[in-house]
Amino acid sequence: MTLEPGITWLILGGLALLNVGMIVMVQTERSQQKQVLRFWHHVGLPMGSQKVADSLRRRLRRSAIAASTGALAGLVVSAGILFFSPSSFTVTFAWTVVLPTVFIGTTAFDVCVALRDTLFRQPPGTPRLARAEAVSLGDYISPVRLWVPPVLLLLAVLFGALVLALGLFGVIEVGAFGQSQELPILLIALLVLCGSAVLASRALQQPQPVTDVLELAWDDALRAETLRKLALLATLTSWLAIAAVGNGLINAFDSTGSTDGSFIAPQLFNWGYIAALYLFSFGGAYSYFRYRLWPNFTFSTVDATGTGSG
Amino acid sequence: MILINPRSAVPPFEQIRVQVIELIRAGGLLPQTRLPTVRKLAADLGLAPNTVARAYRELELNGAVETRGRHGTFIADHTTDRSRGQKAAEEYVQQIRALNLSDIDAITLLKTALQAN
Repeated sequence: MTLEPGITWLILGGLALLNVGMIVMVQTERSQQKQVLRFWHHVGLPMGSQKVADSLRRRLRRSAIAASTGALAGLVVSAGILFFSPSSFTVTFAWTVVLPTVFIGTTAFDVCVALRDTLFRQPPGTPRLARAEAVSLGDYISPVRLWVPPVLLLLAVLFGALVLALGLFGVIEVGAFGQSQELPILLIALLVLCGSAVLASRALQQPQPVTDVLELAWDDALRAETLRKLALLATLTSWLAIAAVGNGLINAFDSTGSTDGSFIAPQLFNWGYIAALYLFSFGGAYSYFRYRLWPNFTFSTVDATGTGSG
Repeated sequence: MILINPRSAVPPFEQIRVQVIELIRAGGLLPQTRLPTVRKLAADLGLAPNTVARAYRELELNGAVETRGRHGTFIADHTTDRSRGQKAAEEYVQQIRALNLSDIDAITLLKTALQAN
């Protein structure tokens, strides 16, 4: 075993331990309370009752367990690729294989929980509430966050086409470009984008069985969170595709002896990764739905159904 | 918001119908607003899809909403009393044409009906 695959195995083991630790930690009452407080702070809705807090705590716990299990599944896939196909190892294995599989696993498992579960239940004989108008993705995610993934993927495709054109004119060596991992990553990014769109559509069609406006608002908050995670995944994989095409271009130039850069593409990805996390964590990323669906949200336990919008 | 009380004597489809009309009158549902799909609203309210479909059908007959095939159900553009009267008049004209009656007959029949009421 050479040094680099050894380090990759260490990274895989470390990440696996970290996720097992997360699953264990999220079982504790203190950790669950912290999760609820953090989400509450992000969303900015009134908690209202213990019932809401308890439902939220259970749901966030399930979501965290699913995300960590998904990350473990992603790590197993990466380990499988490394074990059964050692020839596929390159210096960029950690960010071209490990990162996407972990991201996809984390989000896919988390979204599956969101699509299977409902935050609240309607006890028999109690009044039932529903929004009178249809909602769309634009009610939960801001236009910028909604358009970033397809635009990035389009850029990646255009960038790839440009590289092929350069190859046709003999500026770069197309063979070296083709040997890189950019084409599979581009394909994965496309599949993730399409899959995200389908899952987002399904999330919007999920029933919201609630008995008052506060429950509906919290259900909206969790739906917005699911859609935010899907958009973040699509953004990261699309950005990864751009970085991978960039890496392929560098490799192609390398074969002509004009550059020396196997570190530029990972750096490019890292900066984009930080920017994407920033975009999907700040600037109303968690509370955008509130401005769209609940602009004048007020809640009183006396008149629990007559306030809010929608 | 639509609130269904399962203990009410009023059937659920009627509760939906009345509340949608009320929301339109109060300005809570503006023209061209898309309503949830039948399945979605039924799932949210814990009702059978047929119940919601019946409410939508009745709203459409009232002229309060319009169905645009796969695009969904929308609040109709003009749901004032005058526009509903206009729609009823158009339906009356269609029936008169189907019966092969003349315009004079149609006006005479209408005048008779108005005088009788």
